[in-house]
Amino acid sequence: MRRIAHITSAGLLGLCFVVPAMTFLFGTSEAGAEEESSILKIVAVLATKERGSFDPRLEAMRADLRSLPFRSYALLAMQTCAVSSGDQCGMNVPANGFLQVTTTESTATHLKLRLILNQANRPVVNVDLKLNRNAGILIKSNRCEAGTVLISIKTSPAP
Amino acid sequence: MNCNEFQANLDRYVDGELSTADMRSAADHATACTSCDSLVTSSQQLNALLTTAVTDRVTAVDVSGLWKSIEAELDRDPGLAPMFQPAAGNTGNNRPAIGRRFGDWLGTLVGDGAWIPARAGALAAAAAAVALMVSFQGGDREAPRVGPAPGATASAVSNLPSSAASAGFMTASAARTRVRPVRIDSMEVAAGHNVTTWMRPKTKTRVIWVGDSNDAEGFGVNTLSLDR
Repeated sequence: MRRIAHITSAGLLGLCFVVPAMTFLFGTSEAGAEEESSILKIVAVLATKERGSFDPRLEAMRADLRSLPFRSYALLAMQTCAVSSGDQCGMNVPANGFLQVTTTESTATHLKLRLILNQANRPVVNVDLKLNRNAGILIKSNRCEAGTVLISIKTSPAP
Repeated sequence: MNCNEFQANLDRYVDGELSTADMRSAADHATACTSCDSLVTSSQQLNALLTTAVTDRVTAVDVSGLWKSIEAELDRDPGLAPMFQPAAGNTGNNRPAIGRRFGDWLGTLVGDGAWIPARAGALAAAAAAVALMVSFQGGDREAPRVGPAPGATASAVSNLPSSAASAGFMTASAARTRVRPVRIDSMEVAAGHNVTTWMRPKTKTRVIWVGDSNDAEGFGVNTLSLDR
């Protein structure tokens, strides 16, 4: 009986060392996620409330744009960047604007991004976010003379 | 904004016709109120469904031979003449006959003798039923959230633990889709601007709506309505 208790306590003592060591070596699932480069697709759209056409090149975004309070949409610019952690990607937008995207983490499942949108040399919005692979964001920025600028950012795995 | 005010403005909110302040107020309320948020989703889905159904129907109807059909029908059936040129001494009410005959004629245009209004009503009812079924199915929706207090900062909101499951009103499918496709960890907005964000579950897209301002000076942290 005494021997069994001795073996059990030894086993528990061993576990106390082994488990932290394994955790240190292999990490948790979050920390252990491998880096993987991604493709960022940034699309700038000019939206107006005047009745007009829907740019056929924006067909893939129709579901996102349908519920917004605008009547016409035109593609302004489209940019694709391959990014890994620490990479930056940017795009000029109308009204003296600039969008800067910094990738802080890129894994097989998600990206962590920092977005800074400047307009007229002033920062308007600064966002840190986590974006799953199949998700996207749509930013409505300030109005300019021609209309309102919408910026879409979506991700896909790098080939 | 309370539920009654929100529901009174629901259509204008969905159509984006509210003022910026009201839009934000309504979005704030929808963020915190699960039932009103469901109404927004149902309304959007119903709009999309009806738009598609009506567009398809209108496209399918061929009106190129409209007048030829009317003239042919008039020539073929002399009994229709009193509808347009009342015969001498005929002061009777022809309206039921007109309605029935016109309905028959419309029926021949699109199929059998059923009258168009009845079909349109059935179509709308079917569309509404399908929309409601889709909205209650909730397969692709984000889980209903426990609304944060208005004015909470982005980082505070995103780290809130959800008590929705323990509250007992979350469906199994909602619990399965608990992982958010887009999570905002922090957000700063230029002073004088306002921002509202919401999720479009079907496309897994988070909208960040930055309100216009005339005096964008400095760079501070404004109150945000998040996690929708």
